[in-house]
Amino acid sequence: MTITSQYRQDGEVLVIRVGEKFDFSNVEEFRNAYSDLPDKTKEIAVDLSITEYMDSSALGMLLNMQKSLKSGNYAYSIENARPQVSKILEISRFDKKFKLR
Amino acid sequence: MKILIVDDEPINRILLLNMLNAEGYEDCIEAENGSQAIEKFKSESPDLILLDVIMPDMSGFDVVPQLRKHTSKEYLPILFITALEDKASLVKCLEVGGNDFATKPFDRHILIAKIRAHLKIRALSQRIEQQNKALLLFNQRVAREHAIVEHIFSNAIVNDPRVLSYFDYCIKPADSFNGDLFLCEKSPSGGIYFVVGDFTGHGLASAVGALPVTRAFQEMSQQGVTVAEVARELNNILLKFLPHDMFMAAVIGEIDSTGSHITLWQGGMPAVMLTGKAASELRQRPSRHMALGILDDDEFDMACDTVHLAHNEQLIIVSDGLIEVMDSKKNMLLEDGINDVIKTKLINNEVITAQALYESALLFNVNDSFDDDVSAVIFSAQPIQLLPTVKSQLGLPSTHEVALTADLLKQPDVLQRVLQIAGQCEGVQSIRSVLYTVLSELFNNALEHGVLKLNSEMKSTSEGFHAYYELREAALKKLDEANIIIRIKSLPSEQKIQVSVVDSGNGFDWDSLKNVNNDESFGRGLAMVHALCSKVGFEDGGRKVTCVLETGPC
Repeated sequence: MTITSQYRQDGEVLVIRVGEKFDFSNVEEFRNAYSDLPDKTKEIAVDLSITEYMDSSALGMLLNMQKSLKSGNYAYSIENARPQVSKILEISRFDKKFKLR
Repeated sequence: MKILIVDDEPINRILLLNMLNAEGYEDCIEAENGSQAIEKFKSESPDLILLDVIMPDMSGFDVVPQLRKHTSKEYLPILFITALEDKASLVKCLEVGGNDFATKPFDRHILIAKIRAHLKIRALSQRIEQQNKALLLFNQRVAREHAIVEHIFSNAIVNDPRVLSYFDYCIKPADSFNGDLFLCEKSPSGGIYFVVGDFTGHGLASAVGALPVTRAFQEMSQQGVTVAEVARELNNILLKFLPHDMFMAAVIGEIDSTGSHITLWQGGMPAVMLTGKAASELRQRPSRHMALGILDDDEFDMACDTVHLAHNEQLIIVSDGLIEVMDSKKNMLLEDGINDVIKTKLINNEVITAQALYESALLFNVNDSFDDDVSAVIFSAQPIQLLPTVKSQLGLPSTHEVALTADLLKQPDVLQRVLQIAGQCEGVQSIRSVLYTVLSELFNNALEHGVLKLNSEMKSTSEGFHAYYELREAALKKLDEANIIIRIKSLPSEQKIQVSVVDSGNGFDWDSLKNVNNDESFGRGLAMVHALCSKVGFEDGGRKVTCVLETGPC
C-alpha cells in the first residue's frame, strides 16, 4: 500500500497520504481512497510529505477527484509538499484549486 | 613452600628442620646469623621465616626491618622462635614487624599449626596480588581500546562547523561515550538536514550505533533524499546492526533554505517545542512514531510533519535525559515541566538557549549530575546561507541510454528503474525530483500517445479518466512491437542534464498542444515540461523530444 487514508478532526477531514512516487500507477488506489466518504466529511487533504516526485498524471488524478466529488462541495487541500514537488504544483497553478499548506 | 630457618645454634636448626621435613615441608634452607639470613632471603625468596631472637651478630629484632625492606606486596610471614618469655619481648616481636611467635621449648603441634595458617594467608595474598596484576593489565587494555574507539568516533562523527553554526546546542554525555547523537549536514537544495538521536542506554555499547547512522546520514544528505527516506533507511540500518533490545529514538529534520519550513520525522523522542510570537503561543509537537530500529520495513511509518516558523522563532529538541531528571520528591520534570520552564523564560523575556535549558534541568535535579546522556538542540528560524561546497573534483559527464522493447515496456516497474539510473548521474542531486517528473512525463507521452496511440481527451470526464488507464493497461498487454529509447546525458561542467526520448510511434503535432485548459484533468504534461526545462525541442515529426534541465551549482 503506497496510499493510506485516515480521518482527522472527528471524521471531518479525510487525509490521503501518497507514497514516495505519485504517478498513474496509483490510479486505482488513489480513487479508492476517496470512495465511500462519510457524511460528516467536509474537507479532503492530500498529504505529500513523503512524496519525492509527481507527474502530470498525478495532477490529473487530483483534478479528477474534484470532478467526481463535485456534488459533495468539499474543501480541498494539499499538505506538506516538499520544495521540488511544490514547484510542480505552482507551475500547474494548483493553488487555484487546492489550498496549499 | 620454601621455609628459611634462622638460628645460631646448629642443634636448634636441626630440630626445626627435622620437624618440618616430617610434616612434609621438604624445601627448607638455613642461616646461621642475621646477615646470612638477609642474604639468603634475597637470593632464595622463601615463603616463611622462622627467626631466632638472640644471635651474636644482630638480633632477630634488628633483622626483621631489614627483611621488610625487601618484601613485596605479598604477605611474608615471619615467626619468632624465642626463649624470651616476658611480655615486653613478645610484644616487641610483633612490633618490629614479626607476624607471630613461639616460645622455646615450643610445642610442635602448635608451631606447625601456626606455620600452616600463615602459609595459607600467604597463598591467599599471592592470589590477590596475581588478580590485581591481571586487573591492572585489563584496565590498561580497556583504557587503550577506549582511546582507540574515541579517536575513531571523534574523526567519524564530525559536523561541518558552518552548518553547526545555525544551531545552539548543549550535549553532555553521562560517560566518556555518548549515546546521544547530533548530526547536521547541508542539503543540496540549500537547506539543512539534521538528526537528534538517543540510543538505548548510554556508554560505549550505545554509542557504537552512531557510526553506521552517521555514515548513512551523510551520504543521504548529499543525495538530497526526503526526510521520510532518511528515516526509513536509518531504520533499516539499525534493524540490521543493533541487537533486538537496542534502538534509537530520533528527530530527523530538513530545514529549507528560507529557514522557515521544517519537515520533521519524530520517533520515540520527547515532544519538540516551537516558540511563537508570544509566550502563550509555545507549542508542543509530540513524536508520532516508535523509535528507529524496532519496526520491520513493511511496518515502518514514514509520515512526516511540516512546521512553519516565523523569523527567530525557535524549534527546540531535547533528549529524554534532560526531562527525566528527578527532584527530591521523585517527581520528574517531563515534557510539561520543560515546557513550563521555557514558558516562564519567555514570559520573563529571557533568551532560550540550550545551555540555559541544561542548567534549568540540573537545578531541578536532586543530584548534581545526570545519569543519562543529555542533549538540547535549538534552531532559530533564519535564512540558510551556506555556500555550495566547491568540489575539488570535476563532476563526471555521463550518458545513459536505455532501449526499451515491448517486453520491457510491459514491466510494471520499468519507469522506476529508468529513474533510478537517472538519479545516479553526477550533478542531479539538487533537481532529482524535477528530473524524475520530466522523465516520467516524456516516457508516458512516448508510451501512451506515441506507442499505444491513446487519446488524452478521453480523460476529460471522470469515468473516461479511469477508462483511459484501463485502456492503457489493455493496450500495453497486447503490444508486441515497439521501442522507446531514453537517453540521459549529464554534463556537470555545464550544470545541465539533457534528456531525450525517441519512440517508434507516428509522431504528433506539438504546436497544437501548447495551450492548457487549467480545469481539464489532461493535457498539462507538456506545459509542465516546458516550465521545468530550459529547452524543449521536437524532431522527426514529434517522435523525438529533447529537453535540457539546469542543475545549478551544487
